[in-house]
Amino acid sequence: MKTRTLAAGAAGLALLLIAQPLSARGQKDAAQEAAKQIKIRMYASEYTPRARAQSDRWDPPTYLDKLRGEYRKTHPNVDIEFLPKIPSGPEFDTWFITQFKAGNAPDIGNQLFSEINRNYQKGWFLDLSPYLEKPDPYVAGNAHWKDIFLPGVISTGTAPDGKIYLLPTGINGTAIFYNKAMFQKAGASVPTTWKEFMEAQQKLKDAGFVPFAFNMNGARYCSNWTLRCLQDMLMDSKLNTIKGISGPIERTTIEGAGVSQKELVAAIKKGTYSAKDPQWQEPMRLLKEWSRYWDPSFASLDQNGAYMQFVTGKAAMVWMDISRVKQVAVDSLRQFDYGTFSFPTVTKESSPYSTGIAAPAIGGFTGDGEYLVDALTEKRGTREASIDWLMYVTAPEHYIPMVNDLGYYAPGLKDATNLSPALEPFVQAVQKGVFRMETYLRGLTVKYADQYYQTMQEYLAGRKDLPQACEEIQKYMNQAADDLVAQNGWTDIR
Amino acid sequence: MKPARSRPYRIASHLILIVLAALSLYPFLFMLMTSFKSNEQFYHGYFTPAWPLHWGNYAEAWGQIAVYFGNSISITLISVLAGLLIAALAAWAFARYSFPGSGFLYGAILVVLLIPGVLTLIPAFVVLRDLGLMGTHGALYAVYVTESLILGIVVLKSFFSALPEELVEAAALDGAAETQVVARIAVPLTKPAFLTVAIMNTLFCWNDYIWPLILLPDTRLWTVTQGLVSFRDRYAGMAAWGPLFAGFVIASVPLFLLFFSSMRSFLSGLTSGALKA
Amino acid sequence: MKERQAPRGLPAPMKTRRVRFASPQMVLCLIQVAPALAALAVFRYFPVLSAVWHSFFNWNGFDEGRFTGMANYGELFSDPVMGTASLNILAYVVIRVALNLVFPLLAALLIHHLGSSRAAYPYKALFTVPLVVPTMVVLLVWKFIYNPHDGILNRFLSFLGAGALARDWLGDFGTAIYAVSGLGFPWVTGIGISGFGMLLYLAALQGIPSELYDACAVDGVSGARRLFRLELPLIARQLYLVALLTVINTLQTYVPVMVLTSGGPGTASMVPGLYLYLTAFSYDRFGYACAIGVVMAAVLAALAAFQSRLNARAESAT
Repeated sequence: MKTRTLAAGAAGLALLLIAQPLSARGQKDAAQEAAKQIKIRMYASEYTPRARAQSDRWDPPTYLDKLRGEYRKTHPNVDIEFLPKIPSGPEFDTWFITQFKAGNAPDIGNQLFSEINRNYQKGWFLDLSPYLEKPDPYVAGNAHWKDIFLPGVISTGTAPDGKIYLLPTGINGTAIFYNKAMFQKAGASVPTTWKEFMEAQQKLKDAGFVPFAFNMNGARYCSNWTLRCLQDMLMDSKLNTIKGISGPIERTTIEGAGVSQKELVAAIKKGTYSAKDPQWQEPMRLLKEWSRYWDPSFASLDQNGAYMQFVTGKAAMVWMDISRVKQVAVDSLRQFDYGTFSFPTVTKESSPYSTGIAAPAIGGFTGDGEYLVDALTEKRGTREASIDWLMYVTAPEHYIPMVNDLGYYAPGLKDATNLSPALEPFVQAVQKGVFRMETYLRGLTVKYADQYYQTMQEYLAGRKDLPQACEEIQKYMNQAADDLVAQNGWTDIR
Repeated sequence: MKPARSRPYRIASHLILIVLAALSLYPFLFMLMTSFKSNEQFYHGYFTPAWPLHWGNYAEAWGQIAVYFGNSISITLISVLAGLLIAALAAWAFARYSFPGSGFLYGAILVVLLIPGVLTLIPAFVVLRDLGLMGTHGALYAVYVTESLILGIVVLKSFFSALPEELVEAAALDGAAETQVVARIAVPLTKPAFLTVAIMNTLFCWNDYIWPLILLPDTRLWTVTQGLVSFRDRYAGMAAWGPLFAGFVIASVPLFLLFFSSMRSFLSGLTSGALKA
Repeated sequence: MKERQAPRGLPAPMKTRRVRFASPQMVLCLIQVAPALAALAVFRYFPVLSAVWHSFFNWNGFDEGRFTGMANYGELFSDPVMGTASLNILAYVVIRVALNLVFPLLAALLIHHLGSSRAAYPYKALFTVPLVVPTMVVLLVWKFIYNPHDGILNRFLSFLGAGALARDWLGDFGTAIYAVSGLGFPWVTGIGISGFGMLLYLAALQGIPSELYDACAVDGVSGARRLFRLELPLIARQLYLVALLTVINTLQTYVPVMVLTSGGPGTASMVPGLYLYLTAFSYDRFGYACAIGVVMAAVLAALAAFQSRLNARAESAT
């Protein structure tokens, strides 16, 4: 009997001894399972890292790759895939819409705030507001994630329903680039007012140069920026009437925030914003005045064409955004010295409607780094990981070097230490204030924008006169207003 | 075969034809020239060749699209072959038999030709999503096979119908079964038609860009045309022209091989056989 | 049994066999036709019906949409852009059909009359090479050719001393749509499917029995008269096929316009296909876009019905 008990005890002990390491391994397995492999798909647009190719003229961005490597050291279970970049424009927009419709969108995406505002009701995007209240663990002493951003980031990223689906962390800006050699030869000086601007171009034209490479084909930036500046200056005295308040409207850093879409639609219905108003027509008149100095093929010239005209010394000036700064600096086609200036002020010498206010900055929180999170990350189990990765990327000590590495956009962060000096002026310009009312590109409907430009091109080509063009635009405006009322259910606007 | 014409006439013809050929080849030559240029060389002169030649463009382009070649080849091959098979089956039935409803059904197929493709883009996409084919090559097969069917059935049916009655009857009299008639007589005699349909559908599948863009987000499944996309927007809107065109050249090599390996039989088939007395 | 009349000198084509309803042969036929019909039903017919259905709605492509009856069609017929687009596409189709009929035929005739297939072969090969070039490349090349500053066209004109004719071909209201329609000089190999035209014509010409040529020589018929009396009628089928395919394809065009002018300047080169695309993807108005598509399909259907009646009349006349 004793031997049996001994044997049982020995067997029991033996079992215990064997079982111990087994259960320890079991625990490790469980722990590993908890730290499951997570894969995040991110569309990083211009920041998508890639290796330098032979045809590259400067180093392409690689910083996100570095960040990913660093992040993985502390988060070995998270794998981040950067999707290849798709050309911006109709292809990207088609891809963006179809991927969300199919439930196949990347976990972290990149898109303009205006597109978010067009599509947020479809439930595609995650509301980031609760996460913005949480502290960012990668920023020392941070209590709320949203505190690291400039206010413009939060306000631009807030959708009409008050939720924040987007973090537009990149600042875009513009400047007019000019050819110093041509200016010198023509005896022209850098203008600060519209009158001086026209005079300088006249001198350039007399010297046999094409003064300005203005482009109307493809992306409408050049004409759009011009109209925004002119409208902001020339309708300055009327902006508050349009908005429906009595006091003045200050300039902020949010594009078109002075007058909201709903207020604009109400103004159209009331007639305070009307194409028949000579004050409204003034920007068009000035634009036509300016068109004398444009490259005559402006209707078929696109942004790249305009850039080429400038850099090969065929046109004296071009208006570009900061993503071209790097390019112009290193382009071997450029054989001249260049400088930049901002859009001139329209004074009383050029228009009776001027109030003397300077031109607004063109820019805003529309540079790359406009992060959104797919609502389906919840289902996929990648939500927490995506947010954490975003908090990591947007921490200034990571974000600023990334921005410097690309060199196309400025950061929308409060803490901008070590920012490259070439990008600083753009942050300051935006801080001074941007245009207060957006009507030409994203303000009303896309269809209205197309119709407006088509009619404007006919006017500029002399095929329609101003009253006729304005009458048609008024019709389009009314239609757009009706469409928006129906779309949004604004029953309080008549 | 044809009457020969006088010498001066032939010389003049040759001259005109050479000029026409040279002009027609210009886009091809442009593609080749540009594939060897750097961006600077390109902007200096769009239309003329430039030295030195940048062979590196090819290395760069190949590096970009090599991965996708396999995808493109398998997708195109399977779609075209499957399309041919299905189309041939249907075309033979329509050509040889007149069964109740065949006129209506054939008319229905002709009608599909009339529908603007761009109209069906979104609804077809929705169907593919609901069938769970999104993000797989299966979706592309579905789209491409359907596309190739339309032309395939019409062309094959017209060629089948043009087969001489006597040959077909003779074979039937000899006791050949239906499938043998098809395999031994119909198909060989209409080989040029098969080749034509195959080539046209190959061109379409190989060069198509819209469907892979919206159906295949996973880059491992991408096709060659998608792979070339990144060259078009290298620096915030500016293209890397040299590698882009080098990529186009590389992408056209399989088509080149296909055409020229089948050209001889394609052309000889057209001029011989059942279409002639 | 259907009898089809063969062109003179060629053997009688295959006769179709009548199949009785519900016979085993009919089942076999249906089985053969089934896969094709199934694929077409799911990926073509159903989407089309869906599109037609949605054309009566105000639909943004995503949610339910509001029923609006004929409102989309009413808007379509009073939309000035559709008016411009329709005129433009008419010009485009007519021009491209003409180009696809004349120039490839010219080349085919020249090759055919060289008299030997050995001489013909290199030309066949040469004219096939352009087919390998992707359409996007052709469009880009032509965009450069039309470039107002450095483009070949303007440079060539000033070289000839006709510099005054040089203009912004793609940006000028008067020339934009014609510049897009006329691309592809010398129009022998066309773009895409029309590239096969020349080979088709050539094959057909080479299929004309030499006895007929001999007969012509004996009768003293040559040159233009022979072209119109003998050759053209015998290749009429191929000419007709190319014309039909060209019309079908070009009526829906939007890619060349999108790449070259985006419908501009203004709406001078807008075409219905592009307007459909913009309406659906840019303006979020899928219902209206479906209406445009339905109208386009209806026009094509009408054309098809019209031409099949012409065809029937022509066939009964021979």
